[in-house]
Amino acid sequence: MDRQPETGWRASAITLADGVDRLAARFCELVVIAVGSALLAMLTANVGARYALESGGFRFAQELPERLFPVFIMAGVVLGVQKGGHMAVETVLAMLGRQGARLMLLVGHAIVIGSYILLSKDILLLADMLWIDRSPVMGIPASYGYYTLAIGLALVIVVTTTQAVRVALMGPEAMPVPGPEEQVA
Amino acid sequence: MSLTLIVAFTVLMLLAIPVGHALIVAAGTALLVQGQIPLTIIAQQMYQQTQSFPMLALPFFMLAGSLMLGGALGNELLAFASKAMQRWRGGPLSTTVVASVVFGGVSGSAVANASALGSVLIPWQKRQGYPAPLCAANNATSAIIDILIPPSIPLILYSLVSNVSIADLFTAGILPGLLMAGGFIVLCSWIARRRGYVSPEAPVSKAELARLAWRSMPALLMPVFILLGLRFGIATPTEIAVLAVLYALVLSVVLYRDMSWRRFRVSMVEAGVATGVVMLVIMGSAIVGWILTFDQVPQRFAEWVSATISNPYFVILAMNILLLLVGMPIDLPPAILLLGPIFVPLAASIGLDPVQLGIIMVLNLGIGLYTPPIGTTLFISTSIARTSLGETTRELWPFFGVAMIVLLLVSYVPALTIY
Repeated sequence: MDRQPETGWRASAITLADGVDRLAARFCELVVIAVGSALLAMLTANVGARYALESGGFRFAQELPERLFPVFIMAGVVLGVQKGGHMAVETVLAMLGRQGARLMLLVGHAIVIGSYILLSKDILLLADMLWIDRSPVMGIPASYGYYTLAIGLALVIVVTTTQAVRVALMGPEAMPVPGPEEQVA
Repeated sequence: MSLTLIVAFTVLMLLAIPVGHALIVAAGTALLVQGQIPLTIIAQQMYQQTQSFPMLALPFFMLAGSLMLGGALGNELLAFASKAMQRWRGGPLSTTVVASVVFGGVSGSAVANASALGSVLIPWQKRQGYPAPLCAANNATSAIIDILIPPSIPLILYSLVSNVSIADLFTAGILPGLLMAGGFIVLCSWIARRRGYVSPEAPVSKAELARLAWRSMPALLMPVFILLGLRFGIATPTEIAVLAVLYALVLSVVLYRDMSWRRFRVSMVEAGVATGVVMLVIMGSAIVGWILTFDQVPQRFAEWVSATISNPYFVILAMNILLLLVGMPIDLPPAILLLGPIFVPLAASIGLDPVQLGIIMVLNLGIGLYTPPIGTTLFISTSIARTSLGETTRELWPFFGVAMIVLLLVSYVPALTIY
């Protein structure tokens, strides 16, 4: 991506956005690697235990991975936003000029940010109510899962905002372009 | 409520908002307009999707593919495929097809396949005298073989919406995948013969070919292990995916000695991103599915189609046309997750097996990945070949024709998918 040299408050805003983005990326990458490795270890151990133990595997082997999976997913969702991995139909965007594309992207970013703020509030409301709903084996409250969703959406809001700042100041070229490994089809 | 949902979703898609976000926001808009159902239903539906144990297979199949293809094993596979095909006319072109089959047994993504194979094979094919647009067309179309050969990410997604066994779907994909590969190889050979392309490299000896096959054997066996593990109930799909990762790790560490902490970390993050991308769409589709079910849309649609088109053959044809059209602008995962719940009851009403429907859907939507003017593998291949979209499109039509023949066979000959 060719970046135009920016000066003054624009440069400061872009630097700030880049810094926040890096921080969010480091955190989410750490979460993905740690949780992914933990899931890998747990599920592998359980396959072995299934054949080695008379009980037919560990009792927590389904419950704990299920509780950890939302953490892995939400970290991946945030990284997906940062790397431009989320699939979009860009036919209309490609037809627009630079200013039009910038405006359209900003409208889209604003819609996502506004909607997720609204949704996060409802998720937190639900999370507060679900402390009594506990998992059968380990007794983990369902609230944790909903807090994970809320934190994930909060991070999506943050990285969408930093992206919007870059698009506003640098134009549509500031949007991240996904590598093939980030595409799923 | 469903009408508001469809209008909101269309507007958001036109605004280039990513599909996952668009689904969630459109569903929220529909609920707000309806005014009687609380928004907390969105949170509940989103969370429920993350509690699916079978879905844990997704990141681990992706991780296994990335670990295997990112290292020396990927190069061994490619060497085997290229040398094996060199002795036939059009061999360099057919190498892409054969490599798609063998890579398909390790990876589950057509886009990753198009990029990984294209970046190595297209420049090589060009050096052998094949025109860039032809190489691009061949690469773009062959990539979808990958998603028919197990493990296949789109088939895992279809199993989620249809409740069909992953093992049945994986088994059903093999024959159509091989049929497609066979059709493309014949086409490549025919094109080379007709245009007089001759490979400048001498074919390798049988002993050398056998050595290369032996070196690639660990990867070639992976789909066999996956199918045997699933078929004989040795482990669940999620556990098979985890075992595939272990298998890839052991091969990299012990046999090929090319594993590093950095490679593992990068592969895990790639798998995390891909999982996040797919799961956001799954979460969004679940809310949309809930609203559509609340309004009884799938049942009404099935009833309407049954009443309007009485002949099951025409219903299948209509499904194919709709899927091909949808597959052009919309990516495979959201299309499967959105249309699956509508098509499964429709298929049941005309006696179409859900396993066969799954392969029909994946094949149609896979063809959408290279149908002009919009197509991810088409764009990637054209860009790697450094040619124009128009020229690639001109070379694409014979491949498109072969894919259509396979699609029709899969649609109307159940024996190809149910055995």
